[in-house]
Amino acid sequence: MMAAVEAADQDGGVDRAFVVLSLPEVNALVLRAARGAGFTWGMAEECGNAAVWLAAHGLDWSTDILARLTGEGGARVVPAATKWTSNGAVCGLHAGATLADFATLPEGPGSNGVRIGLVNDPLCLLPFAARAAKATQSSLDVMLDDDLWASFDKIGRVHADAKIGHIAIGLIDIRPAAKAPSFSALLNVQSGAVSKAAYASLETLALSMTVPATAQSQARAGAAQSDND
Amino acid sequence: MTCAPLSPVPEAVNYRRNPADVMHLSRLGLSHPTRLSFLRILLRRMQTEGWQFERPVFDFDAKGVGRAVYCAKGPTQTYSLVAFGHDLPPDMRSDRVIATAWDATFALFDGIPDAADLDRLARNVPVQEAGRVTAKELTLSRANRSVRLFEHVVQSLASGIQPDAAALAETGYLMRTTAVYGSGKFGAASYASIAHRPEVAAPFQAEMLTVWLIRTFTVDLVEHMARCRGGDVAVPLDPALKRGLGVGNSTGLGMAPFLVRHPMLLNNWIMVREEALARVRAQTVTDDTRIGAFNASLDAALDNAQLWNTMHPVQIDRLADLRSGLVTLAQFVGQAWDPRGQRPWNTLWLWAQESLPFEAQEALLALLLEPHGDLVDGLSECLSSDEAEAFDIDGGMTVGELRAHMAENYAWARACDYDKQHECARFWYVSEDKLEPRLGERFDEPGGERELPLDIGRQAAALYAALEQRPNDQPVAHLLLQEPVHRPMARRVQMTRARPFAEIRDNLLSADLLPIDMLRCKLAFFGANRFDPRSDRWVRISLFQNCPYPHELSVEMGL
Repeated sequence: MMAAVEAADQDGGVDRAFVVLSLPEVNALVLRAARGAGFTWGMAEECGNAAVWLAAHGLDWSTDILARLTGEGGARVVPAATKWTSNGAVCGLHAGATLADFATLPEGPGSNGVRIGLVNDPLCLLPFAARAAKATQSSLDVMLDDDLWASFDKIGRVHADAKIGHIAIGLIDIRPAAKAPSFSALLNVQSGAVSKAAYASLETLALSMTVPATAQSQARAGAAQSDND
Repeated sequence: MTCAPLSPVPEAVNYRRNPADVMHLSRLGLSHPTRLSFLRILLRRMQTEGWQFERPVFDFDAKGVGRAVYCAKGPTQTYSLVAFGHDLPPDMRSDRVIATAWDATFALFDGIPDAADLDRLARNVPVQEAGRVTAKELTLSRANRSVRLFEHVVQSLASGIQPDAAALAETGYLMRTTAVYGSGKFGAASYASIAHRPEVAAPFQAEMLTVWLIRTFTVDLVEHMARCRGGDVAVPLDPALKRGLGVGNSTGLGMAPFLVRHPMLLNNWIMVREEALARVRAQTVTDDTRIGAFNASLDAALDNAQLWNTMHPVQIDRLADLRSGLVTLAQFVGQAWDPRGQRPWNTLWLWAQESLPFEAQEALLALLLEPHGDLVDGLSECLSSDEAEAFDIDGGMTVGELRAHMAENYAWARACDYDKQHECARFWYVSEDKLEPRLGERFDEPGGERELPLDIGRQAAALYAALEQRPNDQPVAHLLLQEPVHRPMARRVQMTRARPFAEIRDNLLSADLLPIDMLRCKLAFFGANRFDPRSDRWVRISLFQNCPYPHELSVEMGL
């Protein structure tokens, strides 16, 4: 689709550095890119969904997602009450999915909170923190290096500094919110901008889950027959 | 999940078909359009709300090159079909898979486009996938002429005579769409962003409106070209001939996985249809008006079955079943059925289960709904689904609970040995060239390691096996952490609980799979008719044949 994007960029003579995708396009592209990067189908779905969540809240969805798809995978995390253990920094996406899965269990935030530990690209964890808040029907604070980074209300709505963005690595704690959110709720938007470079990288990853056409497959799909009726 | 609590016919619950009987492709692949099909829902709404239609732009040359705008004005919102006509050399029309140019291209604009919008669309719409549209557009589409028929109609009208009625009936359309993209494709507005509008809340309403307006455009274009060619001698197309024209459509494998990827939608579509049938069967008595309407529908179905052409061996056999079955049905209705008896529609249905082939049984379903709009049309509100809301996995659910949910909807999946070559003969994948779903032969073609997760039966069987190794009281979160390969299926089991019509209960990897069955199921819900498979993987259909045109909508009966 890059050719289409470049052609569209010439539309009206505007030289844009960013591509604007619809949210379904964000989902489809990231799902395929994650699968192309070797994620399981389940985590590829989570990755696409997380990208949509970030885009829908006006956040830079591609930088951290790409970092997760192309960087080191992160250590294996072992959930436990109040403090999770690992042999190093964990992946923001995988730790996030585990947080959402264990949200209502003793290993979740509970009433005392939980220390996730060092997390790579922790922005990727926020969509899952929203799910944890919804699942537990409780307000949660996400602490980054012991400072409040983002808050979630009981219905999973995120409150954060509008400038919230890429952090390569950080110490993450999830705690029941001590008070009402100090930030405004981020607004919902219906599209996601991505730099051309990031877009090209995601497309390259996505292509590695596709299969080249064969004469046999094209013929069966209808190419061998005339459509002139 | 169920419309039962709101049903005006609470006893319908006793007349529902068993999902285990309904959800096989041997039945789903024989689906017929009904009054709950999406194009009927669109037409009824526009009629009820008194929509107005205008054509503010129609600027074409004698070859059909130019642009047009058709506006459909509802109570709160206007939608505009922007159409571009092109002069396509015949050799560029010959291949539907790698096509890069078309006779006509379209976008459905949200509102009324201004000159700048039209110029932007003129740069992007004609190149389709190679361009970009914006959130101001709801659909992107293209169509090719039916070469023989289009030229024949233009030449006839230009000469002052009507085209050959038999030729029109045989093809049934002047143009055939090769894609109608919606919901966020190529930059268009997503369904989620417009789903709050009542007029587009039901499935595929923007796509149906697009195709309906394209139908009008195709007739306007042949009449315009005939006038250019014939001058004062030219005549307009006879209204009766015009009425029988629809819009053709070629649909391939790209559409097939939709039903698998959207289990909640599939559940709602089938549940609505089944609930509608059950409400009719539950009626204790009927009246002359309904009997008359049913007989009229049966006559129309008999005519339609005669006009339905196909060369595909599978459909030839099915068509024979349909024709003979409808004749048998008409004989029974005329001679043996007692419409004054108790639960007359149920009597008819039960007789059909014993006496008619599946193809005719499913046709009867559609016929039974026709005279009962007052009972069933409200079900159209239950067709949509917010699948994003059901995406979250409940990791606190226990293994025992998950297993119990599996028993509701996935017991069928355990009956197959997926290691047998016959049962895993195919694999679904995304093609590199078109980024479209395709079906490969696992043991003949490369790419099996990159297959799509459409193997629902195989995944369900694997999850069953994994759950058996775990204690019933263990939370599912532990399974997901230790065996992440089961994540998609665990999500799916939770998503489909209490949704008994969510799954096609067949092995979609089997050598016996006929993808055209999946296509027909979906297309029937659109309202498509006269399915004409061109192989086991793609099918031609027609939409809106014998439906009203915009200027006829307000006085149309029986929508």
